[in-house]
Order: sequence, then structure tokens, then C-alpha cells
Amino acid sequence: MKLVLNGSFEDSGHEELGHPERPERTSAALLGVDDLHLGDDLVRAPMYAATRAELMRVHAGTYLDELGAFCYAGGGDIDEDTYATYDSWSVAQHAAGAGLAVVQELQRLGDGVGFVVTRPPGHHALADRGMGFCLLNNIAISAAALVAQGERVLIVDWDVHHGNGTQAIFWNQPDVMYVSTHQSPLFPGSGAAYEIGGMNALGSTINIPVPPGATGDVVRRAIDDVATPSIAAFEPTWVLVSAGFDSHRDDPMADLALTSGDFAAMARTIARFAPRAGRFAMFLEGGYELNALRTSVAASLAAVLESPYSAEAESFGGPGAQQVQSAREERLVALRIAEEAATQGDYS
Amino acid sequence: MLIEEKVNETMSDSNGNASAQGPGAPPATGVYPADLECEVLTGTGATLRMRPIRSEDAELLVHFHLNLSSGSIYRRYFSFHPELSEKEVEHLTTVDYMDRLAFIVEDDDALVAVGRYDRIPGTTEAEVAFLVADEYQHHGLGQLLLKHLAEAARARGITTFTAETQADNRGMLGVFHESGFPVTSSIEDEVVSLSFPIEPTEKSKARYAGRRKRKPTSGNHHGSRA
Repeated sequence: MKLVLNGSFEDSGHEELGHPERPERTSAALLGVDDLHLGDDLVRAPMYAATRAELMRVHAGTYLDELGAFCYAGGGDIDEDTYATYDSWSVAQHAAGAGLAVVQELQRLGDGVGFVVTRPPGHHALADRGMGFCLLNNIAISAAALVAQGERVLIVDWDVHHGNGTQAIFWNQPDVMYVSTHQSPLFPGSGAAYEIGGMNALGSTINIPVPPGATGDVVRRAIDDVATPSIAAFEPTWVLVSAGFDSHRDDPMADLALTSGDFAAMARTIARFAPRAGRFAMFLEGGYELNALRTSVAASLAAVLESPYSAEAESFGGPGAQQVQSAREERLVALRIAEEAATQGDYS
Repeated sequence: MLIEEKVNETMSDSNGNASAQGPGAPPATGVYPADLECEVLTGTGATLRMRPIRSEDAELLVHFHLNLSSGSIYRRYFSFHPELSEKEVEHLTTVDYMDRLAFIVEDDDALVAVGRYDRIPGTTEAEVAFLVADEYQHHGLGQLLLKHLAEAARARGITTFTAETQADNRGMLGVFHESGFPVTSSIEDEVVSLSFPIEPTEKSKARYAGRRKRKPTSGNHHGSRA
């Protein structure tokens, strides 16, 4: 199967000395792609900068103006985690555009798998604010473009952090289902199981927090047991993954214990939610240990492309089975309460 | 013209061995391999001259180095290294054309890129490195240098190239990964170490087809394939 690759590859200007969200991450992800030796099955989508109209499906015009002006004034720190430089506006626009171009190329081919190497990452970015290393919400911008074409989009976010931005953007959007597994407690603090979506989209947000040390079996079970029935009922026509590889056991930013083999297993499972080939794409989010990033990219892509690659073994035995069960119950209770409230007209 | 004269000088220096420098002749240690001179076509369509380095190129090299951005220098030497010492210049320009070989690329009289290999003593491996002037980057010169270095190295008993590059040097990583050679690499401390056999593959041949122009003096250069 073909891999449609794209990214914000001219990203060397978006960099802050000592910051873990660095251009070397893109190199590591690309080395992971190289490791698959795809030859003619590797298709590069064209470099593309998202237009203002495309960004405004997700972001407030005032925020885009502010961010652009902030960058062109030389940039600086947006908050204690998040920086922007003179080049960041252009890099972020190309990161967002890279996703759009991959979607378009997959549609043209009617086949293949997409991988978008986005820097800066996107899933924390809110409609009107950047945070958590993220400036523009890349995956949300692609999902919103698909929704505008009448598609129903599933976003699965296996980054170690909760994608609060993506959740908030589609909170009340019934045509997007957002599923997140993430370490809790951890930045940004959102993503409790009882966060289930707004009144127009009850149940279309699915959060399954897991404790530090959780292994792949726990996270995979979270997807299988808690999310899968709802995903099946949602019947997505497109599937996008917020592929953060900071849930790998070697990542310095958090404490989950996943291996490249776990990402492969998850990718395989999630890709099957797409109704046919050419409707599945992974977007890079976090992942700060370069070798873990490289091997996890290779393993998860190999799994969906059915390419040979020797990934680490899947991990088992960590804590969290109980939390997954609790999340399932908590979610059901929240859904029942919300539905009751909705019928009484006081849920918001 | 000056360059042509120098070529002729070298050739007449080794009088009687002139044929040893023609195409197909075995390379000899310390003998300037005039057969490696050629013209190359860059990605932007410019025709530049590529030839092995000579000790007389010291001044060109110093000038080239002075005009590089600190970013380019850092990427090559892994340190900020604004000026080359006399000793370094001598080391870089004096090669034996066997275990150490460097190509320079000239645009008119300006040196715009250097690529070299240094054999790891006692092995058939050599380390390669490139440096391309800022305004000539992304024109395919890295690829051309790699290809010519690999050809020359193969003829001199070298089987494998190794290289080290910073993980954020996407341009350099691209040169190696798009070369068509089966590159293996590892990352440690933000540095990518690469290694690959330089036996031509179908892919590497396809990668370079039609990119080389032979030097005019060797004739029959139109449409020649490397």
C-alpha cells in the first residue's frame, strides 16, 4: 500500500534553544519512514500552506491575526511551555496545510495511508489560543475540512497528553468523534472520563485516562472495551490519528510504558475503523526521544501498510486496568445524566 | 583557462605517464587524477565544474570558508569555527588522491562546494563530509559530490562510506537517504551516524542518470550518462 507523506519540512526556524519540541524530531520521524524502504510506494504530497479560510474553520480570525503579528514581530514565549519565532507562522501554516494536502492526495488516489509530520504539533491548540507547544490545531483543521465535505471523522489521540484543543474544538460537533487515551494526572489536566461532548454531540467525546506506568495492554483495552462500541455506532467515513509518541516508555516527558509494538497494534486496530483504504492518516503530535520516535513511527506505519518491520514486543502488566473499567462506568453515568438533563432542557 | 593550463602542467609533470591519468587508468597515490574532472549540472540547470582539490586551492578554500554562514560551518564541524588555521587548510587541500580525496565545485572562479572522503586507516571504510556555500544549498550539489566521491572511492578499494550529521540537518540526511544507497543509521545525542556500501544499486544509478556532463575536452559529452 502507498504511504502519502507530507509535513512542515522547512521547520528549522521554529526552534528555541534547549526546547524539547525541536527540528530533530522531524528528522527522527523521517528516518522512521526511511526505515521502511518503501521505494515507489512512498508518495510525497505537495508542500502547501493552509489558507486563512481553511484555518478559520477551526481558529478565530483574531487569534490568527495575533499569532501572525506576534511571529513577525520576532516571536517569543506564548506561555511557559510554548514559543513562537519569526518563522513559526509560516512553519505552522505549512504544518496545517500538510494535513490538508495529504487528505487531498489520499482522496485523489482513493487508496493508501497518510502520514503528516507536523511541527509544531497541534492537539493542545484551542480555537483562540496556542498552548502546550501547539500553535495551530493541525488535525482539527484537516478534520474540519473533511466535515465540510460531508464526512464523519473519527480522531483517535494516543499522545500521552490529553488533546484538550481538539476536544474543545469539536465538543459540540456531532460529525467528529474524539477519542483520547492519556496519562492522568498530567498536563493539561483535562480529559476526564465524564467529559463526553456537548449537547449536540453527546457521547462523541471519549476520554480514557490511564495512570503512570500503564502498559500497552491497558491502553489497547481502553480502546477495545470503552471506545470501540461507540466508534462502531458512529460509523466514521474517515479516521485520523493524533499520533503522539511520548507515551513510549523511553520518552522523557511522561511515564507511560508503551513500546513501538504497542503503537503498531493500536494503529492496526484503529485503521480498521476506516470504511476503506485511502481514508486513514496519522498526524505527528508529541514524541521527544528521538529513537523511540523513529522506531514508533516506523512500527505504526509498517503495521497499517503491511510492510515488514521488526518492532519491539507489545507491553503487558502495568497498572490501569481498574481505571479503564472506572472510566467506562463514569462515562456511562455521565451520558445518562446528560441525556436526562438534555430532555429537561438544562444541559449545556 | 588557468585551470586548463594547470591540468596540462600536471600532465606534463608526469610525462610518460600521461596515459595513466586518462579514463580507465588505475589510480595512483599522490598523482592528481585529471580524469575525475568534469562538468556537472545542478538542480537549477547551472553547469559547474567539479575537480579534485589541489594544494594550490588553499586560497580558494579560505575564501569559501570565510563566506559561509555560521550555521553551515556549525553543521559541518559541529562547532563554531569561523576561520581555518593554516595547518587545517594544508590538511584539507593536500590529499593523496587515494586514501584521502576531495572534490571542489567551482562556479567561474569561485569555490562553491567541497566534498571529501578520508579512509579510516587499515579499513575499506571512509568517512565522507560535504560543505556547500549557502546560496548553492538545495541545488543538488551534495548528491553530485556524494556520487562522484563514491565512484572515485570504489576505484580506490573503498567499499563503505560513513558519515555523521546533526539530527536537524535535514538537507544532509536527505542527500544520503535519497542517494539510492542502502543507508543504515543510528541516532545518539542528537547526532545521526550513517553507513552504507557504495556499490552502485539500480536505485543509485537511476538517481544520478543524466546528471553528469563530461568535461568538454573528453568529447562526446552530450547526453552522456553517469
